[in-house]
Amino acid sequence: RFTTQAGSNNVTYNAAMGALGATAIGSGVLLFNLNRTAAYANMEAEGLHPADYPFPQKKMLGTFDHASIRRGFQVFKEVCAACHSLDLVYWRNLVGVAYSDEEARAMAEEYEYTDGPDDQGEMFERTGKLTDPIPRPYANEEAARAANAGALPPDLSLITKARHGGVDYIYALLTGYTDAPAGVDIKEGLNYNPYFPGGSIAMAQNIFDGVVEYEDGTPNTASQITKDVVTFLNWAAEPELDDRKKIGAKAALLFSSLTLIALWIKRNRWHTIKTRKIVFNSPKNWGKSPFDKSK
Amino acid sequence: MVSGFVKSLSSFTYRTFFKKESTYFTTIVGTGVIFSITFNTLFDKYWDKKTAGTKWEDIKDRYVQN
Repeated sequence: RFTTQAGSNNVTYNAAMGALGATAIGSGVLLFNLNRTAAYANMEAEGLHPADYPFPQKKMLGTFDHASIRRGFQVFKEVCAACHSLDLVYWRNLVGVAYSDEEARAMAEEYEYTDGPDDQGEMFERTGKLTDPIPRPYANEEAARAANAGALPPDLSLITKARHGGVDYIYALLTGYTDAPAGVDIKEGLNYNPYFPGGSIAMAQNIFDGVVEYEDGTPNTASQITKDVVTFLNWAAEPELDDRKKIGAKAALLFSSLTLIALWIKRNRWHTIKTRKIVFNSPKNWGKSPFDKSK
Repeated sequence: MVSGFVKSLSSFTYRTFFKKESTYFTTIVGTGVIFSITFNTLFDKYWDKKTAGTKWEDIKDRYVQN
């Protein structure tokens, strides 16, 4: 405990306290960072952390590449729709986003839909319209589980918002299939994927080089195919993203400008008050009160 | 304290737009409308240039049959 006497300076005290504080903060930062990248027992259960992929729509003012959405829907239709549903997306949602009105209509007409009772009370089959949803591969969850060894392929309408890690996680998952490391046993029917929490995923790898042929001639490598389908799934989960970013940029611009204007106006109206001087002129004659009428 | 031109411009603005409540209100609404149209037009032009080639409108010519 340091005591100071009158007249002595505090340099030694301040230096000692500063050194103590710096040691505490410095060692705290060091230990925190050493621990942050350390291995721990629960890592497999949490899944490998995905890398930060440069999807353009991830930037603060970034928007979708709609050509990629179009290719991604083609991939979804040809590869993923065999097992995964996309219940919240309708054929009409694609119009003006990735397909023209005629194209969407033509695609919808390739599918059969059951429609409501006719005048005789019978349900009937008809070709698809723009108002119909993207068709489900299985009628219900039980049928999906029965066809996939008890595992339910989740609906993909909101998958990029529903999974921690978003587009990075989905991309890493789809490209991350690898042989299980030594000592790790994967049950029969499951596949090893380090990005999947637990490591054992029921879905096998489905995206390989050349599994889809693109109409616009884009090279169909596995990474390109995955990038396109993930962009499509991101659009399906966040179709408002383009407008949201545009409106957000306008709002940020307007609000910051208005705030600066408001600050200036406040200081302008207040400057007379803040710079006024109040002067007290002491009276020459302290004796008599000015309210004394006796004089 | 301010120059003569600024003072006469201020006086003109006050007398014409701010003195009567009816003209003041019209000025506020009118300025808002004009600013809104101008800001949105200019910003949308900038945004469209920034996102050129990525929107549906930019790629639809490859697919639309007329």
